[in-house]
Amino acid sequence: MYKMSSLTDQALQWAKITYLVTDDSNTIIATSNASWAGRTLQEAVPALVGMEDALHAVRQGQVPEIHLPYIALATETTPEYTYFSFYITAYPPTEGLFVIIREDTEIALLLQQLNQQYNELALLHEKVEQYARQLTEANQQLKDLNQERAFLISMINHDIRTPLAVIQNLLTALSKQGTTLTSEQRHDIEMALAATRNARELADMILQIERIHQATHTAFQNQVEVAALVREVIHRYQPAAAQDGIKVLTILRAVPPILGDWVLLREALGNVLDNAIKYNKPNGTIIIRLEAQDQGVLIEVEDTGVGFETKDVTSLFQPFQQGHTKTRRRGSGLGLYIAHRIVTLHRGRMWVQSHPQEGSRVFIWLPEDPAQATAADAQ
Amino acid sequence: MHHTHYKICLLGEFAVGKTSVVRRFVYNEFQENYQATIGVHIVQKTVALPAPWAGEITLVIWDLAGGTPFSPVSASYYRGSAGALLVADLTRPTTLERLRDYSRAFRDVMPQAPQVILLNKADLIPDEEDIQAQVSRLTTEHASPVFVTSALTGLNVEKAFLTLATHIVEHLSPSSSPSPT
Repeated sequence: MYKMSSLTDQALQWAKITYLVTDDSNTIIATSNASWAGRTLQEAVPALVGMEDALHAVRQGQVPEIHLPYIALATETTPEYTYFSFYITAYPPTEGLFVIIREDTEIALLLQQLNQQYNELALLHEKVEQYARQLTEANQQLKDLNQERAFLISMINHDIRTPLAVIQNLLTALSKQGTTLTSEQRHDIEMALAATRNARELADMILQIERIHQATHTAFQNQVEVAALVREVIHRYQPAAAQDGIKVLTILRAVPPILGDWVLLREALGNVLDNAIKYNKPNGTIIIRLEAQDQGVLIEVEDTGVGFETKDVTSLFQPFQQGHTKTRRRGSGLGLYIAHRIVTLHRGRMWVQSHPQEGSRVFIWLPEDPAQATAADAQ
Repeated sequence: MHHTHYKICLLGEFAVGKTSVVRRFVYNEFQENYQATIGVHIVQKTVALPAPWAGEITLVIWDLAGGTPFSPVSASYYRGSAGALLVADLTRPTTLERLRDYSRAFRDVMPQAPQVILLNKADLIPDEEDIQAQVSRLTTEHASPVFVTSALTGLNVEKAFLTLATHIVEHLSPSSSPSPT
């Protein structure tokens, strides 16, 4: 049995290092752990069970050394681990092996923490990549849906609005054959005409929504003279107002031009005026006011119509909502929704004041330059 | 049959559940929180081989850390292994793709040792068809038994270890072939 000095053994023990030397038959013939002396390598170190061929290759010099870092050992009864690193090389004087075993629990636990953090970050990274892929797929689906929507819009424009216009014209012509129609037939034609008008209006609204989708506030480079815009809208809706004996009055003060989309703003104001006519009382009045306010313009449309409950105001800008429930006329429920969308797109604000039987006041504030208006301005 | 110790390795990407699978098999327990493995965890378990095999063997289980910069997988760990369990996470497609690399690296050191594939975390995949598609693909690609497992529920964990054990015995111990009953 080879022996090292007790001082060296103490130093190795302090450094948590154990060594052993085997003979050519795998028996331990020198070691700093006295309880291992005379035992086989695998009896002393069960972690090396199954490595007989590899250890033989080291003894024969076919493999210069084996380094097994951070081997954690536990038993069947306890899941607690202690970490050891093994360095195994040939020992020619005994034709056996020289094995150094160092306990590395402290450094292994530090490395474990590093590994833990790295792996958790890597898992997060994988998740982010997975979400990115899902987003890309969703984006593609949106593009496909957008294409379908564009197709539907084009279909509404060409295949629905045009035939509706033809039907409307035919019905109008038919209704003018006053002498040959019975009152029942005339009533039926009027009903068909109203239904056709509603259908056309709905198709028009859908096209308006599509125009809103196409527009962005960054594209608003055109100057809009709001007073001229108001006059054009009144001119368009004058016949409808006159039909019900409704007077449209204006109080237009000088205002600065704003940057915006003329067609969209005309539709927004047109929808508001259309509502004021539809839900007004016969022979009622509409007053349109225009003034400069807070680096923008304020448009107010006041009517003498049926008005509505304050609780209905919040849902007024939702699609297919109508505040006026007991009226002689029905709309698509999209007019104010579209107007609000257009105003918001211009980073403006829109709000309503109303009381039942006291009429309504719709306010639209638009900034002079939407690009300069903050998001807080819009609502 | 003579009682023998066989070293087996668990390989696969980090956080696929290798340690959880071992814990389920050896201690019949499951830990919810993820704890990264560093180096190798070695634990032994004696198992009775299923019929028609008679007798017990001890599996010396080397639970290797998934390869990361702080814990690279050393090929020397594979030396002397009688077989390997390759583990992937069904919820992470990249871990399924990496099985090929781990299989090849193990085969480079131990060319004849049998391998068994575990597709873990089945409890997190609701779509049975998805799982079966992966099983078919990997069975064809690796020519090794494939098990859909869950360390959480214990699904197929013992079956996978015992399958590897019998393959090892068949492969390494011709004398221990089952005798006619």
